[in-house]
Amino acid sequence: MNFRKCWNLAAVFTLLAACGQGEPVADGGLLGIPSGTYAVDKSHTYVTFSYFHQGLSYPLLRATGIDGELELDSDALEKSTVSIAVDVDSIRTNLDYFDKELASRKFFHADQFPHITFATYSYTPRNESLGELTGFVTIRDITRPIVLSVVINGAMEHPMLNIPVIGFSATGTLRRSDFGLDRFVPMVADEVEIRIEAEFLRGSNAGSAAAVKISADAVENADPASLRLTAEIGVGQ
Amino acid sequence: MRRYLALLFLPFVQINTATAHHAFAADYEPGNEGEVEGIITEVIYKNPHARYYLEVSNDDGSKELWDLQTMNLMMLGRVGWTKDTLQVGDKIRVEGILGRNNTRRMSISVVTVDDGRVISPQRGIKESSAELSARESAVAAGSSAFDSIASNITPGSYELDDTHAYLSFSYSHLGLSNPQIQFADFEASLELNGDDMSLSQVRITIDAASVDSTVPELDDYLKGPDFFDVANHPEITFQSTAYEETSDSSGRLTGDLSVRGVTLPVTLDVSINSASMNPLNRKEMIGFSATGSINRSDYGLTAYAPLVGDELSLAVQIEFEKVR
Repeated sequence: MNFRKCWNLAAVFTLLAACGQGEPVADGGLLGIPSGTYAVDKSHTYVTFSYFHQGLSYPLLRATGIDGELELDSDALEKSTVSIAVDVDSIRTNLDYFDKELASRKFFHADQFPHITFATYSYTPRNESLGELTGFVTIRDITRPIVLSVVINGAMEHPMLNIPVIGFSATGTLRRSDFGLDRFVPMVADEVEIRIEAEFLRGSNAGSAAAVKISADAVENADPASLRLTAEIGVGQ
Repeated sequence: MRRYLALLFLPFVQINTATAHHAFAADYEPGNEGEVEGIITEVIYKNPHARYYLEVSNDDGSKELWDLQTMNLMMLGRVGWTKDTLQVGDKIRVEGILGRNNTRRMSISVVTVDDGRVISPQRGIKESSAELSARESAVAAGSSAFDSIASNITPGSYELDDTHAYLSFSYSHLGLSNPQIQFADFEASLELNGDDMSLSQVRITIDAASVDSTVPELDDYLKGPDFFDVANHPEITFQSTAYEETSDSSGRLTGDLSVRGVTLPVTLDVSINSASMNPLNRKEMIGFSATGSINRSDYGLTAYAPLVGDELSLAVQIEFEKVR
């Protein structure tokens, strides 16, 4: 297997044996990687949405179009920020008509508001792996605060790509009615659980830069009341 | 005394595993139960899960912080668990399911407060363990005082509502993240036995080629000869063999899971979310969440383990409608 083939496949599934390089890193301590800019690894990042449907089940919707950028301060985690942009027309329900409905004017109105964005307000680490990420979610030009529970799963030199990588899981809940998305509430729950399973690789790319700009613009245009609200929420009160 | 209490609480531990919803298996390790004791330092009574930070003093004098989670506020509200139930400064002992990767997290099964209260996210608050014990005896004697989903369940044959069903699995990728993989196409049937729930039957048949990671190159790999080998093994099937009720709305479903020519028993923790009539089509509906895990290497799916996790966390979200 030549190197290029190996590299391409590595982007989706690690081929350590075939490539004969890389070692497992048992203890992915945060301090093992440098501060700086990290870009989302699109092949290893999932954003999911879940809600209680008529009291019967929790559908698990996934977005496939995700950009993001992390500014990591590995010496002072609380100074780190992350921005994420999700293409709303990439949200997959496993039902074509439902995908179309979500993208339509009845719901996300993808033509006019193509992205859901997250921008960081603050990060409060509890220890080396747990913390709370407070930030702003923007949907349909409406910005609201959210607090995400974060688990930093690992950070290390990527055993295949040989660049620093950090992976985390983050969960939080928003009320869709806050964003004008109130169809079928309460039969279909207002509360939507967001889960982010993310890997970020050292470096940046055009997509991630766009995500940062989109997030920054959203916050700049945000309703001042929601900004105050976030300041008041702080973390963990 | 401690050992006695632990035995008393054992049913709760199973119940809690069963009623957790889809994301549970990604964060916690069903079956890996533990106990911690400490002082609450922070209460976060917010969805998706109420959380408590607990300062735990170790024998050597060192302290560590634990992140305890329980259910969403709606579920807690049903059993009278409010934001004031547990407060900062309370000394508590907690039994629950431990988090993955030694993250000092726990999903709460039972909390014993040093003022004598015993609190469970399923059963609510009891003033003392003695009272709880009496209640347990009453339940054992068949005089459950708790809300009953069972009374809404209509026995009979059910078919899949394939517009409201999601089969997912996840694993640890390099210890960094937990990809969320789904199957797009599957069929399922349910026979609910009205006289004895334990005789109910579930069968699920999955089109292995419908595996959907959202990453086309990975899908090709998963379908290929090194993984599911869908050309030779087009179907993944689950046929239930036993159902053990742990409450009227939860249980443990054991069945034969066949993947790539290997059939092994697997047990899923099941939560019956509700049973009701759909007001639109007046069909009887029943909805379940189920979680479990398998080691893929048991089925010969050994590629890149253990760097890419051997353990697959399974998550089923499924609604059925009654056909007769």
